[in-house]
Amino acid sequence: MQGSLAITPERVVRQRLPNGLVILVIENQASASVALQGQFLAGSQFEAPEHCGLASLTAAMLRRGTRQHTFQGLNQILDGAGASLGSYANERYAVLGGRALASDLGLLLNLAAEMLREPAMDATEFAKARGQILTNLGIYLNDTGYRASSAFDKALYGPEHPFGRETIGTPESLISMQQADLTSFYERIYHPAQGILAVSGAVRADEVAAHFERLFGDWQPPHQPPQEEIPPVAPPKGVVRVDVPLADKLQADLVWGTLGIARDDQRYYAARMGDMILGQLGMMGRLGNRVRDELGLAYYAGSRLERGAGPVSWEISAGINPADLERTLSEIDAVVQGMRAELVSEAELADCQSYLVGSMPLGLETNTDLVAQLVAIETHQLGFHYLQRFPELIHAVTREDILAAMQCLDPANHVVAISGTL
Amino acid sequence: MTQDLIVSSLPNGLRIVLRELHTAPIVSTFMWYRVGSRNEGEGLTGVSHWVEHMLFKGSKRYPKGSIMQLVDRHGGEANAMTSRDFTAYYETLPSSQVELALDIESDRMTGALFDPAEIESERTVVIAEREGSENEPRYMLHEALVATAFQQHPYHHQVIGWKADLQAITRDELYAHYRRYYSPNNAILVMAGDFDADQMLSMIGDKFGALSAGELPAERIRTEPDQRGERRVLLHMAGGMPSVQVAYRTPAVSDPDYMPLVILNSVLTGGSAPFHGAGTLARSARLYRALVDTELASAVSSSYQDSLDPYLLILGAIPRKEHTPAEVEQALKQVVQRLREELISEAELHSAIRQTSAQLAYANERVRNQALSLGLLSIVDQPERLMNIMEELAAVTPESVQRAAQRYLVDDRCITGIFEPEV
Repeated sequence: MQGSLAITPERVVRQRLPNGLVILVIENQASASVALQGQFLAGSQFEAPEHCGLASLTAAMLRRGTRQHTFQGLNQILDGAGASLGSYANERYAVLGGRALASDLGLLLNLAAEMLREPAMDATEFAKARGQILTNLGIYLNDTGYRASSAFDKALYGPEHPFGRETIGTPESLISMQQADLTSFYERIYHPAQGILAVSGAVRADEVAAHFERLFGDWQPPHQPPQEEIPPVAPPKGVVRVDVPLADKLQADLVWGTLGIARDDQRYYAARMGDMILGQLGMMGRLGNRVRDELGLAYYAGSRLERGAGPVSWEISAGINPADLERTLSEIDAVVQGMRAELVSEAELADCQSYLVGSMPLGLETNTDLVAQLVAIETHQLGFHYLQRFPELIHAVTREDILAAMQCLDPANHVVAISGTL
Repeated sequence: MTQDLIVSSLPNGLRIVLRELHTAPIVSTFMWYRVGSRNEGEGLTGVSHWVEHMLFKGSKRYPKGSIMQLVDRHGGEANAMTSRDFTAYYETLPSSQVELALDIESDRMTGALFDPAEIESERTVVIAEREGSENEPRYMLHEALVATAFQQHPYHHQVIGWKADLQAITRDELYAHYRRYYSPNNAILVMAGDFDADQMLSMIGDKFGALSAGELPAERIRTEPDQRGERRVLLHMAGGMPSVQVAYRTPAVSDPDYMPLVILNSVLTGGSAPFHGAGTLARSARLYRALVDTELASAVSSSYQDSLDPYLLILGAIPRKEHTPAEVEQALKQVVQRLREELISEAELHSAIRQTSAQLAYANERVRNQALSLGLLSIVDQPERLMNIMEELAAVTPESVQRAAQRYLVDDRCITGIFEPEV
């Protein structure tokens, strides 16, 4: 069943409930399971800088008990069915994800509704969850990859910007957080009008949509729905370098980059293809070819253009021996300069186009893949013809378009963060 | 939609396992070799994994970089993995491009160049890969734990190899390892996906039939002697949070106690798909409830890997800062003790079987995963076992789980590892 036409307007049932919640369902009878994904505009953008980690902890608490079920009650039900259901938050959204055998769809949806509408925010569970996060944070703070990435975000966006803060929180912010802060955040931010729920699997789409309506149709929080509040950011001027020393590390991690091109920008597809040629196709693109394959400087060296709206980042990352740091940075500059100075080859463009179009079936093989794609299509208002239009969009990109998009990356103006025993 | 398994072989000894699946226009092709870190001698640790890297570095037919380029061009994915017991290469491609995968694997079996300059640049890449792991205290503890568990059997060393060996291995040693183990009579071709099995068998004959069987070395794997008394490992290095790992000796996959141990593992930490490894942490499982819910630890884990020879069930925990590793170790061992002393309930058994079955269903949504499971089973046992897995699971009882716990989860034969950060 799956393939490039797995998602079409005819196959997707979309309903917008009177409270604004968007329901998306697609049948996939080839599978024995179902997947659920939910997305609500309730990310860390809505927390104060001194409360960083609040959105993340609030999302985690949705899963730690409801008015009907304790945390262990939820665990017993889900584990007994071989199902899973979890929640987390990133800078923009709170995200709910779950899967179950198809026969347990009702269970999955009912518990998701409880989590979203009636979280217990229990004091004991709050203390447990916060303690776990603090311990995990102790591990992350000793991780060169995490530290480099975190320092890069802070330098690129500034420490007050939602994209520059630690989504997970800091030891100080987490310790000062109160249970009432979470309840208040939930009551102020979570709203069906800014939510999407998607299901894929061996289900009857009309039955699932009706089930959703029964569960969520009367959800009417008294507050106004939140509005996106991502402040604009200026690109870096000059080279901003941040070193984060950590003791006893043989490998250093580096993140090099700047602001990228947003999902709704007309240059997006050219940037995405330029990014693939730079650091993804084959063995991590031109970067992998030069830094890893030819020079043997790193186990990994690649690039990633973040796919979202607003001031997204475009990052190059590598794991290297500290002795090779300066040489690696100079090689990255040279590879980026090459992408800025000359058109990519006809063959590179053709390979990139055929990869993006040809890999569509592989990217839509599972129910989890399908719900993620449905939510992305809805979020970015791409329309359910999107997968049918996708080959045309990709083939419309020229070498000149890619060259223009690559001007974003600039060896003379970027942030580079390095963590390790330097 | 799903046809039976087809198991066949060519006159040169290449074993073939095929499964037609017409759920998506995709075919996953895996070539498995019976060589891994288990087959490495003194001074050559890591050689199997390094050979795997070299098989992407060029042949006359497929110059360096061209395999990934061609697979990408068709929207596919390709990669490889080296384990203790095997090395495997795979391509997942649109079904119309399946011949490309067969051609790549046919060439790879004998045609790799092992260019000396490429070997030197890859030496630093492999060392960098190892150094990335060495950054992690939990990896260092794991490596020390396993090395302490296996003093004679080659499972002693990690797949990546010891750094001193990676610095010293020569081009001749790499190439000799390749020639010794890469031949059709030491390989298993596993394919799952959207194809016609009869046509595929014919295509496989065309691509691989002309390759000659090799002379395989006699296998001389030392059996690990009985362990008498607990062994302990203490690691100190900078940074991070403490961790506790406890390893118990477990039998090979072919042992009748394998499936009761799969269920036992699920009762401890949550279900995972046998012969695949994908799993989920169950927060109603015993270890989570005893250690995390009680706020002794922030996380628990377990690793029970499918292996050709007896290996280990490794349980892990991260103590919270209010508690010492010793307290967490004691609580973890009490959970294990209870499994030896009491039968698990029917409800726990039912939940564990349900979790395991569900993980299998989720894993099987990807064609690649089906080929992976069939190949892994072909290495450590027989591929046909995958078709009877639900019956095997259903045959597990509380008594068989307790017997397995009493036989294998023995404190006097465990290896305990503690990491304490240097202040």
